[in-house]
Amino acid sequence: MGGKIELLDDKGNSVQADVFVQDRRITVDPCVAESAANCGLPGDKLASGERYTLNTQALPSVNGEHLSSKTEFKAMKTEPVVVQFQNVTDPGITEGNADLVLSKLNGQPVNGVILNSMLLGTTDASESSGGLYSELAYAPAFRPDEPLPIRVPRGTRLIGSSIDVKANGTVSVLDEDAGQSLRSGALNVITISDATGYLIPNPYTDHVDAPSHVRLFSDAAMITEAASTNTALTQNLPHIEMVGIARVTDGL
Amino acid sequence: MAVLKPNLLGREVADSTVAFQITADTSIDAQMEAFDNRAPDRDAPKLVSWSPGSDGKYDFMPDRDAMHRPGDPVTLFFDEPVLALSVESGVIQKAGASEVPVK
Repeated sequence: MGGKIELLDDKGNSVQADVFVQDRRITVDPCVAESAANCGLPGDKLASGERYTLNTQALPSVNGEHLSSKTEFKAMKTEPVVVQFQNVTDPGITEGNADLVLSKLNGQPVNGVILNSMLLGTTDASESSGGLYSELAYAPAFRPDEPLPIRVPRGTRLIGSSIDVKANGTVSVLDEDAGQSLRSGALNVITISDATGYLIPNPYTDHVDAPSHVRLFSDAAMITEAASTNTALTQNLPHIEMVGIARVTDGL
Repeated sequence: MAVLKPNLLGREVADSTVAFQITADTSIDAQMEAFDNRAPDRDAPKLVSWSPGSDGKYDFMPDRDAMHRPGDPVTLFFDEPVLALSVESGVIQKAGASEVPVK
């Protein structure tokens, strides 16, 4: 097929990077850490103040046309960074709580994943649990009206609870081997590149207590534990754009 | 909040709206220790299923090779994402004793 995507530093040397391509989406995730296991952790950082070039050469499309482009950017200084552990709130779906923790944004139980489709109908909610380590740039180095970069390392895992598979959301599907209804097994979502984003000052008000806006871009893989559902659903979900709000209540 | 549109069985695009809520303890002590308490993932990926699959598992098609047409891909499903770089050197297909180039 040909084509080349490379990230060059200001001396023209190429920087080690993982490239994910799916359909029209491309992610270039540079990793300069000593080992692959440390990608996305504080040791993995482009040199601040240095100019980098993202070079795309003769990338073929399915129609046989080619794309070449060159983008230059300068890495900003973010040190010293803060790594904080964040816990995923338990909405109480698997415990059968009457008072589910609902999202202020869409009114649905938080961290519950419901799939709408013709094959499966509207599925029961799979409850995600886990935690993540997010890395925040040094806030005092940024102006109050500037977005503050955040990063979540690749390999961050959210574990979803198992759900019964039902055709059109109604008819139970039988697992022949077990003689029981087919269950998905743990439904895991794992990030495959470092998720990056920003804490953005609230654009609608100057009030200091107003929640900041959050924007996070991530590439994830979805995987289920049971073999037959794994084959049906396992896939990469590149370029997930998440929007949200961040605020402090009772020290959390 | 995000919208996910996963493929189902390669036939249908499902949609899902997810609203995550994550909280962090803002006390300094908890956050200073957070990174040191991190538990790295040391489990290797495991093969969950593959196509054409092992012979003799199902009565209706015990010989799985008979299902596999020339040109069909061999598909492997793992329980976690595999690093793309490792696949190039880590996956080898053999015909008898000789290696078959894979893409």
